[in-house]
Amino acid sequence: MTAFEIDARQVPFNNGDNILKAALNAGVEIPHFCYHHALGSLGACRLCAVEVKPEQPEQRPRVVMACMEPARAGLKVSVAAPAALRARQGVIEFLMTNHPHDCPVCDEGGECHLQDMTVACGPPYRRYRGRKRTFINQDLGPLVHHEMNRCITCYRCTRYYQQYALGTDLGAMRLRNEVYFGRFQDGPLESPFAGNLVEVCPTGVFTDKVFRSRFARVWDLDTAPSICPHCSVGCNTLPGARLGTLRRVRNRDHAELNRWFLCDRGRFGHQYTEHPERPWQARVRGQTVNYSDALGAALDQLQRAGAAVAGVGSPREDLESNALLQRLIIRHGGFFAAFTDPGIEAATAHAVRYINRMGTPTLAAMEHADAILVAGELTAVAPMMDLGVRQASRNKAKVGVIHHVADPLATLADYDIRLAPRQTSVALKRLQGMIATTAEQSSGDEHGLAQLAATLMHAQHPLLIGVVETLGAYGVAALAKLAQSLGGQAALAYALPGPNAYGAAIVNEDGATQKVLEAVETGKVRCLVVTAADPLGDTRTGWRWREAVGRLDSLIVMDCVDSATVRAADILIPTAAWAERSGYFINYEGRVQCFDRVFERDKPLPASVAVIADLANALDLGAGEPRVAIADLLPGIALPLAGEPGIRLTPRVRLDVPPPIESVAGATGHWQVGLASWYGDDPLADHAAALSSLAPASTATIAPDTARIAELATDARVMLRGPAGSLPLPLCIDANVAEDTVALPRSAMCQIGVGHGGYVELEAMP
Amino acid sequence: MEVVLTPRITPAGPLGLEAYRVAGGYTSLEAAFDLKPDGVIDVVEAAQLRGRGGAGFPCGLKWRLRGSDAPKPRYLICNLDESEPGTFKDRVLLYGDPHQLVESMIIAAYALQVQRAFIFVRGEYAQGASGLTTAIAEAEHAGLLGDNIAGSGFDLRLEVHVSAGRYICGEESALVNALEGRRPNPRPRMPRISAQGLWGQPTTVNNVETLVNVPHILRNGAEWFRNLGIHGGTGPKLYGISGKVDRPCLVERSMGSTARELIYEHAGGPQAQRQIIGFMPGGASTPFLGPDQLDVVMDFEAVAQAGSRLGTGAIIVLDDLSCPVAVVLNLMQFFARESCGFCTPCRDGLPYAAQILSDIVAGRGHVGDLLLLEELCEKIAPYSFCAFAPGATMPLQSSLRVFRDHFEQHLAEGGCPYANRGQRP
Amino acid sequence: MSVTAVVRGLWGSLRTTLWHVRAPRETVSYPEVKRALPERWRGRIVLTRDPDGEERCVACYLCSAVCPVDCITLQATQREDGRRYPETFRINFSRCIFCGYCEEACPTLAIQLTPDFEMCERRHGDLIYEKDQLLIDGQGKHPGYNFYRQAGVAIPGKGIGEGESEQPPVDRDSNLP
Repeated sequence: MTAFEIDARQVPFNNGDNILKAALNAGVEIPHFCYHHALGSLGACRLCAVEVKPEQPEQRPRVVMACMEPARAGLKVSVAAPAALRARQGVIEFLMTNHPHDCPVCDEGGECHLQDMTVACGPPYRRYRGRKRTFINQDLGPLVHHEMNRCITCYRCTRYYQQYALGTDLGAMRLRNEVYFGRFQDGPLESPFAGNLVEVCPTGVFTDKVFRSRFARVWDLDTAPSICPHCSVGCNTLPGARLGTLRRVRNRDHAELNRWFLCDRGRFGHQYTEHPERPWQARVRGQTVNYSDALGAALDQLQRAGAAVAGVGSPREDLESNALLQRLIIRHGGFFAAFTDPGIEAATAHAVRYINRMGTPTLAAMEHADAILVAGELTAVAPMMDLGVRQASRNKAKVGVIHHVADPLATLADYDIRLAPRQTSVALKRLQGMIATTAEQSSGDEHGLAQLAATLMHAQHPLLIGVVETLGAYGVAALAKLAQSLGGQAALAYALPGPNAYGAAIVNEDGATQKVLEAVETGKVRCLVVTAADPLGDTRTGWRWREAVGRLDSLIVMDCVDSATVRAADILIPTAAWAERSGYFINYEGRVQCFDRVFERDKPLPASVAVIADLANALDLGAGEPRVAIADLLPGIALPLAGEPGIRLTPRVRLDVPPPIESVAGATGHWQVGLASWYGDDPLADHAAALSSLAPASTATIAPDTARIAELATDARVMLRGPAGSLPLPLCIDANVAEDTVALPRSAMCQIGVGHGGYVELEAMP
Repeated sequence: MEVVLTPRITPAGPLGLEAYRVAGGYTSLEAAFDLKPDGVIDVVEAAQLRGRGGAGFPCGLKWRLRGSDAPKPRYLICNLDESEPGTFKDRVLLYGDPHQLVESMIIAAYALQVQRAFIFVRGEYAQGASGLTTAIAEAEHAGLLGDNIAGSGFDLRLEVHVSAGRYICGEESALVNALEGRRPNPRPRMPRISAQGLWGQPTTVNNVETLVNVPHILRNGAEWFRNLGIHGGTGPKLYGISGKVDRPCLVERSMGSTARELIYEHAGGPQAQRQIIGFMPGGASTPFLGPDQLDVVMDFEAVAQAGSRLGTGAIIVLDDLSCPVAVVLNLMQFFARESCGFCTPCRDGLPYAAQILSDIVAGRGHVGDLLLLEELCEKIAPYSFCAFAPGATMPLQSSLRVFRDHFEQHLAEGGCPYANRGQRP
Repeated sequence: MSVTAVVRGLWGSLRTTLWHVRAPRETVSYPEVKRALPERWRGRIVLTRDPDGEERCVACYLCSAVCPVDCITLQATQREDGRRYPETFRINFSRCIFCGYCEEACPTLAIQLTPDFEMCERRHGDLIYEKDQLLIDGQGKHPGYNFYRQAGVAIPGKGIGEGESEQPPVDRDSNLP
């Protein structure tokens, strides 16, 4: 490894590195503002001035900007040379001429890069006599606060927002010392990654508005390494809490996953832990009781039910809780499932099998693909995967998106393929056929599939990403087969339905969900234990669960967020949210990661794993030790500590079960239902006040052609009818929706009783 | 001397295509096509034509260094974004003789084997741009632009782009950014615009005055061109003389004329009963020279040796009834306002200097202000991103030498001595 | 030793003693007589108001950060109009060592130490002062300073660009000089 010298210290570098990048990687501090590892060099701030010794002895040393000067062997650089110090002092003095006297009232204080650089480089006293330029701030929405006076014009925000996140609504305006960074038009920021402005900005121009509502200085926060509990990517985070409440979530670097950025759902979704309707008090048949009474009541019910018990775990519940509940229920003689919808269970199980068999890329590796096919609305399910696809597209990768509803990634894609939900698997099979036969463009290919097939075939590193929830088992298998047909270089990844969906899949037996549901429906189960799941609120099967639990003697529910199931519980045991306990999640790669407890509430709630362990120990089933449960589940794996990069489970080949035939029994109607989701949509983040205020309105959305054929006017109201009932909704016309499809939000689907790809009746209301 | 660039410019307006042809226009095309592209470059190099945009880089050398094997497509841009205060030569060429520019572009594009060329015109010259567009249309109609120009097999598409505004667009790399539709911030020096310019392709940028010399070089030869200059200069030069002179004007003289000749013989010298106390030889971003340097030869090397820069060759004269501190304040306010806002020293340092000057002029100056101004110049110029800031600090730095006594009088009297005496500053 | 020396010695001591009978005393008969303390004497802590009558404290947390014994606890919040203030402000005077660091750290001259030491209590808990026991109506030792007039943020009575060192705000929608 070649090296150069900075103030008599050897600094290694890679070819193509500039001095600043090499120095920062080696832990050498060179003051800087506009450079950022994700954004590269710009050369605007002029703070990284260093002195370079001359080649020839008669030449004079010259001051250069470290971020613009390539590193080379034999270079002798000085950060502490007087000329460099003068240059930096000048830059800071110039920046301070306009900087407002805001530190006491600025949220950034204590983690402010400008504060640090000013103390490190700047003059100690102010001699500028002029007045400061000022700006009116914008209301950028409920998540990011704007205070433009503090701007030092480093351009990081606009480079991140436009060049990295490919957003278009924020940028630079005006010129000279009046450059203004903001939205070109009024309104909230549109990007799902806008929250990263808070960390990218080195001063307090963009700050966390949610944190501001209950502010604490960063040096007072309780922090611990954690994992995001919102989707299957498993980004590493650093939540901060104070005096018994969670205040904010910040990014924590993981070299192969999220590195510098988070999505807005991960950053602002934590507010659910403070939602007023979060379960706080244990209840037994409507009466508020304390924990031990509720536990006693639950024990009583379990003992009475004997083997007629069932347990439902969850893809958003941690690994130990799922494993322990499974052991408890099985040892008690009952049925256990980790999912609430057999379709999702099958799809997830298949996805996990294919990942085990074929491997899957890290998030960082996805950026090196040169052709990407996305099947499903990735931005709404796994936003950070969308950000990875954007980076690949910046590197000239070709992107094709198969979607059924408006999707931010489809807008950017080279191939925008709108298909009704049930057509997706068909299209994947056709693509596979085109690749297998290398057929010329066939007739009837009005969706551009042939071009996409050709692109994938000729790519060096093609990548296929599938959204498991909307693909279904059939689609998951079709995508995997397509990847196989592309040969060895093709990479496959699935956005699984939950932060621990992989873990849920390995705890679960095939077909378990169907078994549990039918057992409850037929009365074979007297007592049902549910942890961190909402079967009654499921889209496709929710209505069946709602009817079935009426036959139970008792419904025992543990959760940290309000839901239909929580409200219907006979025995409710409120549990700790993810930041209030520790646990393990397995992400989409099969990487086991540990999240640590960040803080304890004033009145602490028990962790779900502790509740299940208490039940198991009281029932004396010898099942109450979480470590043992995990050891059985993952033999030979030494579980990681919080803060470590996590352990990828080695692929284990399992038998390939043929995918189930899609059942359309009980489905009537001419309209296919497509799930209309958005990046803030998940059972936890739905209860985050600021984030959920941005949720799109609840409408039934159809394509213009479909509206014309059905003779539906733009401002009509429609009545939707499904197995569980009917629901009136306002109609919305959007050209991004596939034909013959009506896009509905989750809550509407749950009420009508139909899942993604199901059918409904739709008629205009007078 | 023989006037070549401006004889066709009259108050009656520019010549149309036919009249321009009658005056000898477009005859250089034949000579160019005979010489072939490399031959044209050789001739221009032999003529020692130096860039008239301010830098003075030899034009032929610039064309040759781009390389005949540069990847296609390549582009040629004429920089008509003349925003330097005191400079109005390009305006005269644009409004007065657009066909001369069109002819120059054809030859330059042919020499560089470029299929698409742009003329980037300052936004305030929109009327001139419109006249230029008319001239281009006439040329296209006559088969002098478009495919197979005059049967030579050479294709060229020539477009006029009117700038959306601001001085920084005159900087070569910022101009390229502006053409691409981006914010006109300059680019890093490397990679060079000649290698990766407009849309990442090899791009050559020349000032309009440089380009309009080319047809004449081809018509009359390199030696003729060299001999038009005096005192070591080559070719004709458009010199503007403005400020405190009797008859501000633009004249076409030999490159190498002296400042004294230009100011006294052509602009009528200082106004009645006034003395010249200093002048800027080449527009607002050149250092001041004192009255003892009026005999300086207005050529690149000579002016540099005298401690200034030739720049655009637009002389601005100050006399003993004009307050030089107020002049410098005006200039600094202009530069502070025109900064693109990319790098800190220029963006925040120039207004800082302007603020101190404004205090001095208003009588609120402090004793240490002159040293502070010098310190600011030393912190702004060497550490900025492009050449704008060094140019902006040149008048200030030089005025602190040449007019230091005026500054000190402001501090001593607590205000502008001119204003105090009832004179207009 | 001679008798004269002894008598002289005795007389010297007696003289000193008799002189001290009528000498001025440093001792003060507190509490009937109270010593006048200088303004900078570090006694009871108060939170002061600015010249406009609003509380100066902006809940910046610097005092609680610098306190060597961690006796200050506060929670920041803001009014509808954007003005930050402490929702709760608590000083545990049984921990406080009256070092004055909080007063030095305070950027708005809100927290100040006053020359009052008469604050003993019989119950430990009464030594924990809440904000209503700390906030006074006056400006304390530093009249005339209003932090918000120097800051860039907007509050009622001082909009963007109306501070003492500010220019009026820029029009971001125009590129004209």
